[in-house]
Amino acid sequence: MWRAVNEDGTLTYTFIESVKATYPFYWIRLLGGLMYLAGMCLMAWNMVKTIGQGKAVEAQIPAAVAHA
Amino acid sequence: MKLTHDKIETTPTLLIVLVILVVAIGGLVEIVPLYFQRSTTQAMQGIKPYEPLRLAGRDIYIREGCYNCHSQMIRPFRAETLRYGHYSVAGEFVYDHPFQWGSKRTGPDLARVGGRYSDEWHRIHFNNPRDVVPESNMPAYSWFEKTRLDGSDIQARMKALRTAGVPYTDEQIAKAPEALKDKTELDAVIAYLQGLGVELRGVR
Repeated sequence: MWRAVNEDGTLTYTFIESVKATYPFYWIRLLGGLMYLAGMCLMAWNMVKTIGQGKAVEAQIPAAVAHA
Repeated sequence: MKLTHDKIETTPTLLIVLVILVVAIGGLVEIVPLYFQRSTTQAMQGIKPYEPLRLAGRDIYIREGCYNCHSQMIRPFRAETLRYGHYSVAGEFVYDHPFQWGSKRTGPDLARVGGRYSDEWHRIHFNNPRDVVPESNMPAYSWFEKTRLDGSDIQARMKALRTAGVPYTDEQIAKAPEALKDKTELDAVIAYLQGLGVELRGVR
């Protein structure tokens, strides 16, 4: 749009028309960003839940039979 | 040992050294002349160092990160010269430290915005760009109008620029705080913008 010229050599679009044309893409970008953010929140929730369910366990160390 | 192509390509260290050598020569040939050419080192006719008020405005321009959305470099393409005016030339930026060429154009190029709109237009536009350009996505800078200009460091800034080669006289530096008295940041920014690129205005 920046470079488009009419047949008589004048510019087809003003700068602000090119700005206006970008608005749909900004909305798409917002949607993508929200999905990304939602994914991170989901991960945080998953982590909190996983930690909450865990129980501490005494690890048994098997006695060494013999050294080679 | 003969320095054959095979030998160079199979010896990484040698290859690196030779590549650096070649690139350095290329760089020197392209860059060094720029420090001595008249077209890049001397100010274009009519270009003067920024007056104190414009310099303060320029510092606000940098502080607010205007360069993140606005370039100040008109490339020599038809659509650009039609839209913004004569393409930018090196002699216009001799007193710019640092230059504000920018590369992102979310907003229009400002290299020749001087005189394009009235001061009053700029006042309204900075307070709320939507008032004059309904589709604009530029943020409002409404605090410019309410903020007094802090002129306490203008002399230090001018002296620093003098070190970088801008020919400010002692008299200009001494009088600088006077010029900034009772001005708002809005006055400074508008003064800066209204002087941008006016030397080649109307030239095709």
